[in-house]
Amino acid sequence: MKRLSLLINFLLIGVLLAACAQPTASPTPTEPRVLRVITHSSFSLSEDVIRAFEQEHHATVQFIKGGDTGTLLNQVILSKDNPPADVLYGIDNTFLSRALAADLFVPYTPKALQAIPQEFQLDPQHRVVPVDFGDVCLNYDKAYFAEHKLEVPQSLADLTRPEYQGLLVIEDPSTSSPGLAFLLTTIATFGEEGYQGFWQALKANDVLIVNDWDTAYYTEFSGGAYSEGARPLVVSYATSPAAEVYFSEGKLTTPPTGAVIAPGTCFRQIEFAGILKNGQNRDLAEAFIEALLGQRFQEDIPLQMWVYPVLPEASLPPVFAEHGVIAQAPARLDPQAIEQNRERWIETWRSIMVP
Amino acid sequence: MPFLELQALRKQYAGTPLLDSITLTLEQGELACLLGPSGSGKTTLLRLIAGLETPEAGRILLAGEDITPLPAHRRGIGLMFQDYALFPHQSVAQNIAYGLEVQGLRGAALRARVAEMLELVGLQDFAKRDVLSLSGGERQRVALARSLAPRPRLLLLDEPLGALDRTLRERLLDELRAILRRVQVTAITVTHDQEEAFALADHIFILHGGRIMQHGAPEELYRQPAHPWVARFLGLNNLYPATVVSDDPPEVTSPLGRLRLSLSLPSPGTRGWLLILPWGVHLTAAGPDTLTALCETRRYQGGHYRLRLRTDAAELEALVLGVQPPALGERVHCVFDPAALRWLPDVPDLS
Amino acid sequence: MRGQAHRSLGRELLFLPPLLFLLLAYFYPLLRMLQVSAQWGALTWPAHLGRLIGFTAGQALLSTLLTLLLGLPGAAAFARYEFPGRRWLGLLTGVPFVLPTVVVAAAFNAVLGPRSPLNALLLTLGLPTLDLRYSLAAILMAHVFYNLTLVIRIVGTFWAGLDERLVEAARTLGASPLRAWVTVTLPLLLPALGAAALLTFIFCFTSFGVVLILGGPRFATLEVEIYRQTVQYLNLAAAAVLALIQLGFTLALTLIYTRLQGRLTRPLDLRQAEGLRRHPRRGEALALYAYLTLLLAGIGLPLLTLVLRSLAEGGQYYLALFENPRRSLFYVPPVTAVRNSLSLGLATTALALLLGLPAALALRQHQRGWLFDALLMLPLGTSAVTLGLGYLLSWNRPPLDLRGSPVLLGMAHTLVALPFVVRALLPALNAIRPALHEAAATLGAPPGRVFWDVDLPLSWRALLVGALFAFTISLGEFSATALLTRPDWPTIPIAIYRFLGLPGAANYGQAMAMATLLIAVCVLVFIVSEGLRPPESTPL
Repeated sequence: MKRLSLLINFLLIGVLLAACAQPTASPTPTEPRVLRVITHSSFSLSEDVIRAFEQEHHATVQFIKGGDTGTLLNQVILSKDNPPADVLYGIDNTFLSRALAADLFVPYTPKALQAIPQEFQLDPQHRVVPVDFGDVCLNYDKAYFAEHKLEVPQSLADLTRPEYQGLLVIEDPSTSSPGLAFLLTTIATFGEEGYQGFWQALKANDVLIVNDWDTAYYTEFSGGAYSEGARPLVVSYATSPAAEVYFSEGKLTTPPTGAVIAPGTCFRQIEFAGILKNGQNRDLAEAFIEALLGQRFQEDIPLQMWVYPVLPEASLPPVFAEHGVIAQAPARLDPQAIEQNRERWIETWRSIMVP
Repeated sequence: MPFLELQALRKQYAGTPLLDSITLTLEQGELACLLGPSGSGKTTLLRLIAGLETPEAGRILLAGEDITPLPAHRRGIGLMFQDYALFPHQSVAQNIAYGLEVQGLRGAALRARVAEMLELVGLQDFAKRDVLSLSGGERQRVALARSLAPRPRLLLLDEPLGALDRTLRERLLDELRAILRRVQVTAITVTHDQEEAFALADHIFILHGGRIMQHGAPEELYRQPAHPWVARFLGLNNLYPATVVSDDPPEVTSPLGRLRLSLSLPSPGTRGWLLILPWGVHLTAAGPDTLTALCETRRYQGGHYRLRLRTDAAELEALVLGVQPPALGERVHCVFDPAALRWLPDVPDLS
Repeated sequence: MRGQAHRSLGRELLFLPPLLFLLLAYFYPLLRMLQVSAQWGALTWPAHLGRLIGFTAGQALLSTLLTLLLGLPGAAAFARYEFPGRRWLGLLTGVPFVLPTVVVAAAFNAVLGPRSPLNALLLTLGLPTLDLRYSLAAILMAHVFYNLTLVIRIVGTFWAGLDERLVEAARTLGASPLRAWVTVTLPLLLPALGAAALLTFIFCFTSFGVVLILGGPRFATLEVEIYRQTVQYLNLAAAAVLALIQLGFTLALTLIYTRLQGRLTRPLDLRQAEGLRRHPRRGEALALYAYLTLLLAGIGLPLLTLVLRSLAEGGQYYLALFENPRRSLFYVPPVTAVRNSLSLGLATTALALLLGLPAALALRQHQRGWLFDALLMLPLGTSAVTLGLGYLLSWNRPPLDLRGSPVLLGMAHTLVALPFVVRALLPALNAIRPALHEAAATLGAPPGRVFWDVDLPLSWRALLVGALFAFTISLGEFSATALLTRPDWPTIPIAIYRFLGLPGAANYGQAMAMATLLIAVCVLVFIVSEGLRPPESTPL
């Protein structure tokens, strides 16, 4: 294994060198080449960071937004032979197995991967590399909990207790990514035998299910700055409280909400990027992957996408440092298992929760 | 060379024949009329000439040119519609100007012609009026002016007076004829009203069941209908099956007895129809040659009475002046003026 | 005969441009997608397929009936009566059409939710509160909110042209006002009613956002299930089958309508003058104003909540729109978004008119036209997910690699706008008496001229209605746009969704501000269109 990866590294370095060598070998000024990157619709980066990359590599980066993750993946799988981009960013661990099974990517091991913790590297073949992670956790309305003198739930099982009756709003896993993440959390925590019982109890405890995060957070949740709902518990992201502070236009210094990060209550979504087969400008693609894991990009990610960088050395912006939290022992499921059982789990869930 | 010539025109609709081999000619400057009951095909014929329908067979020649393949907008034939079909979104003047604009006329020349037309139909102050606010008679005149303005070679009028009330119709009848004469346009009108046809036209074509039954000047038709159906259509109901008994002197026998005519008749034994024109029935005192009849109905028609008399064998219509008419149920005696008797060949009545 | 051959050939040629467009923009991507789908996944039926279809059709039917019921009085009100604020209220009813579902959902939640003004009132009266959200009622109300304008404008424009004397004739023959309406006016209105009803039904049948957001997980239409199968399970084969079922229903219904349409249309003497509206008589005034108040409340309140929210914090969200504090690459400058939305809207409208006019002219009183007519409507009944992916699969090879190009976007928008133009225009064209064409022909006008001088002036109002629909559809379109556009070519709905993707007061406020901007643009366009008049004939 080690020899193989050494060999690959050697080859890749060689390729990189060759790529770098090219511009000097042909000094004639050329049009900047175009690197196409397809992402999901939530992707964002600072202009400066991209411009720096473009200048450095004498290239133009063209972004394509492919909709939500599922639609994005569909698109790329269906047009495998003639992909719309050279690099794909935005597959998360719930879709990872499907993406890999569809054989979309060219394996590439960027140098920067060495600095990334092993726990994120879910693909040993490096067909895709991890770029960022976010924890889907319960958020609670601090004011409500204080006013009603409620304890913040510390486990999923707590949610079925009578004092939390009618307080929780969640998203439908078949139409929402955090919704699916929450379902997977319950499966990881309670196992195949136990999750159905949990959900039945949750249903008896008057949980409200809406279709997506927008509706859950802005309409039903009582805690956010503009939220107008009545329910003080919602499935959202661990970074949402920090975002509330950041986007309060200076009004808030502490988050009005909190995230529940107790063990087994959150789900870690890791997002990956990879080079697409049949794409163009392989060298630029590789450079981009490399850059994604570099410090500049990694430090840019938090404020742009409200997720955490995988690079441990990346420094976090103040709002993250002060108000950001990371889940302790988040629930994890094998991507393969997710892919195989996803439909069955969702349908079982629907048969319980949707009369 | 005749101005308009129709050669064996045939038209059918869903297998039913509407027009069966129509052939006619028209001279330039003539005012003709297609007269017939509804369903006779007269409007279809008009639309064929206008180019709004295409015939299954036959040709239409205008001034020697075969216009059959030409679409309507290239024939130079104007059409005045029965319900006028004025453009509701345009004023009176704009409606009249339409054909001129299409011809490319503009500016002062256009305005002058429109004014000329307005004057022709007596609507000088109506230029800016909205067509929807006009009365029936006014609309008719606008429709006429509109169709005349572009100087069509031939003008077709579909029941031009059909939608008007009686007094208006009377007045406009004269006006219409005068206007058409003044403009010297060759015109064909279509109507079911015999009076209208007789008043307007120089030459009448009587249609029935898609065929031309008879044509000619109004006086000719009235004086000598060629067919019992035509006679009835013209309102001449004193029709009786008859047989020639003698050709010199011309005499026939009929349900009214043996009567003498003043026309030549075919050989004795020939069967046919006797027609007695209503003005030829005279009421007299009883006498040897008189026919006795009962006065069944009497209708006042403003100046004269139309009587229905009944003998044992037949009914009779008579017109008498309005002084001392017979009473209902009264027994009268009549004689017939030989000059008012006609002979029609033996064809099925068709009525 | 040669003349006739020329005429019918000319008319058949009119079919060509829209047909060609349909082939390129609809059939090709759709068939490509279906072909590819056949290789992916298994033909597993979702549980309770029958119930799914039943609910989809049922809620669409209910929505349509409700919209007709509530919209007909509106059509009458705007067509026949003069009252203060008529123009503005008419404008207002057209605004919901342009709003993305997410925005409507937010507005409805404020108006229907536990903290709504109504509930505040109920609370003070000691009555239990009403929570109408996540119910069939919410779905129906949202559908009516969106589609009321279809009935009001299409039927209203037509109604305004009907001759009152026909009703008066019925009255003199002894018919009561209701009877006269049912036996005279209603049958004459049927072409326009049918058009509006068909559009509304198909819209509601393929409803996605409204059912998902306002109905909640309990309710699912075919479209929702297609989305689930495609995006969640990648079971494209099942999705394709569902899409075909959805399409089949649409086709069947449309065919019934188009076959009937020929029999429903009658040539009428449509009036043109504007000044034929009158003030309501005493008996009518009460009913009229009661209805108008209801209309104002129903449409205005949700819109008002949006605007008010955007104005919170003294309107600073509007200023925030112009800033990009995080220096994000994907920051959408509002001016750019507005400009893109407007230009796309104008392009869509132009293309839809350019294709819709020949289509309507060709279809007018054409014996076999009902088939083509139904084909034109198909895009409305096709799953957006399926078609969207189909676009990405089909126009993706050089030299026609249109992925990311605004051309593809324009095609997709026009595809949806085209049926609206045709449906709005056709009843009006059919109502023009053939005698008028014949009169123009006998006055020497060739067919093209007849169209310009007779058809256009007599149907321009319907044309305008169709154009406005095309424009508002394009303005508010999101799902196809999200899939087909590049990030450097954002539209206003894209910007709204972008803001709503993150928590925080600033994000929500800016989303509302953008939504208000959308409403403003829409209202502006409506105002401009009110000033449009047909080309004047030579004044004499």
